Amino acid sequence: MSTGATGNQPILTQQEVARRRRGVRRTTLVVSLIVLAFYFGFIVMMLVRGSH
Amino acid sequence: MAEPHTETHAHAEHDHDHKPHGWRRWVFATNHKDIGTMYLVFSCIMFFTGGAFAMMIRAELFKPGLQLVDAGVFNSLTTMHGLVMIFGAIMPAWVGLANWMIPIQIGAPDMALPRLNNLSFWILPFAFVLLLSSWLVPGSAPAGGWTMYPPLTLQFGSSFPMLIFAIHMMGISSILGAINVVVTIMNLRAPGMTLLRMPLFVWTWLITAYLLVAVMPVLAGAVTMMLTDHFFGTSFFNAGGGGDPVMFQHIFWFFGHPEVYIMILPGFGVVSEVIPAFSRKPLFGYEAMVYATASIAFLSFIVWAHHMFTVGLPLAALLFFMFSTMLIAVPTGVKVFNWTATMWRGSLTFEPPMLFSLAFLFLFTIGGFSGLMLALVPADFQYQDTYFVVAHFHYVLVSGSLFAIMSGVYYWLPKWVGRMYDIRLATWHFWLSAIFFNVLFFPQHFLGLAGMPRRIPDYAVQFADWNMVSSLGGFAFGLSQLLFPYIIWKCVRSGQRVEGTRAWDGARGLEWELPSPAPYHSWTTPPTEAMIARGAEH
Repeated sequence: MSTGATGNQPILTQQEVARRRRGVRRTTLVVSLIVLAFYFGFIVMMLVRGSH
Repeated sequence: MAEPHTETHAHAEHDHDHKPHGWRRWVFATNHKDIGTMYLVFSCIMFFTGGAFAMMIRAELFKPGLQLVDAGVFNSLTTMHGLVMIFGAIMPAWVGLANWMIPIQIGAPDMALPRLNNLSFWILPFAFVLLLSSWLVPGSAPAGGWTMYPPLTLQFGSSFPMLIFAIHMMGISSILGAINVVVTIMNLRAPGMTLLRMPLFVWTWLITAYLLVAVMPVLAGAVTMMLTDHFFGTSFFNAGGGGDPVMFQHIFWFFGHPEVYIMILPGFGVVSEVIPAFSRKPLFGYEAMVYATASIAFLSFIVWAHHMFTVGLPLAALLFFMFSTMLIAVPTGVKVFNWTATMWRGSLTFEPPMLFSLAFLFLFTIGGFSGLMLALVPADFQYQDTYFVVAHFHYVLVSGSLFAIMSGVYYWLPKWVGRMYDIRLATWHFWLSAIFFNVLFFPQHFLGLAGMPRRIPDYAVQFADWNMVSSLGGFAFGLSQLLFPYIIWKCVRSGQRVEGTRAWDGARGLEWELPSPAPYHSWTTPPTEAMIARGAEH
């Protein structure tokens, strides 16, 4: 059974796959850091506000 | 990371439809289609669970006086209905559609982080078993409303930690799902699939995922602080210890308002796919739609206090939040006019996906107009905590989110299972839903304007007639939803096979270049430039 396009599909090179793999790691890291910043940021904001 | 074929194994495609069987296929699922299916099934179960709570609410409100449940149980019903529908039905349905459609719409072989995908799904059933089992503990289920305002929520008994833990788990699930969507779209698009060639459903989900990443941790932070207030003697929100309960409302709505857009933006995406398909015309103003979606997402961060106009905000804040809220009508208007312009002089047909999208267009706009009324500070002082608010957000979330989900499912179901569903029955499902939705919720505008408060099990006799009408509409709407799983079951078992790749002659996009049903492993070799260009004719 066909698993996608039929005909002259472009095939990804090893370099392209490696580039994607790096991109996935980098984006995951950046987005996770944003999540943590928002989570702890609001708790710290409340602590700072409460200490005044 | 899900990897596409490289030169070294590109010719091994014949081996690719092998899939695990039995329970392992689902418990250890990493295939985006399997996980998407699980999300959608889970969402359907939660929809009927939350719907059962809604039926009990409407049964109690059928006539004045206490008939079926006491006031405490009624409060638990409204709370659990909100939590289950928002976190259990609508959001997982969108994640399910995202799982199914995003990889095949961008020409990727799977989601970028398949194991994380498995984890983010399997957290959900545990979260909801925990939440729903709170009915069984002393003091019964949470009863302070889905907004969980302290100090009321802090006074719960055993259900409090269950609620907080369940919310944390739902939040983690959503965040992991959102990370996966962002990473997939940013990194796994097929060569040639530039950002401005992506289908609108993918665009709206990308923006939704950023919203989720920004606001779900804020909710998690708020409930963590409430947890420490309850068990560790802190006073974040406890006025007796120098804390500020209104601050919880600020933080909650900083999450809560974008949450509304999290539930509606993917619906904009679905409607932007369906209307062009059944108008046989490209979408009018594709780029304007993308920018309007981004504008709505940005504005959603600066309007949160319109949910709390009556708590005693300074005048400057009231004015700022009133005007910023009204500003949202501009990009939303761009969308509504663009959908209408897409249909203009189109070759329209009215199959079930189009019917649900059209109902979305009309009824969501009504919800938008009542939202504008609520945005007016002096008027809001009258409407606050009345049934007008209940009518407003159900027009946004039922005829908005839910109808868009139905539209998406009816649009893509033939691609998923390779069979066409019973169009006549689905049309019945649409008309029953659309009619009884209005019978259910339109009278609630009148009740609210007449002063009936929300979240009460009993009411003054002058509200009796419209409540009875609303309840009758509710029972009929609820019953008509039973058609939905039946139509899907019948389609999967005995639907007529779809010939060729396109189930709808006006459908465009990479998903319609794949065979029907979509193969278990799709786009193991990326699509050609010609295919991408065909799908991206905006």
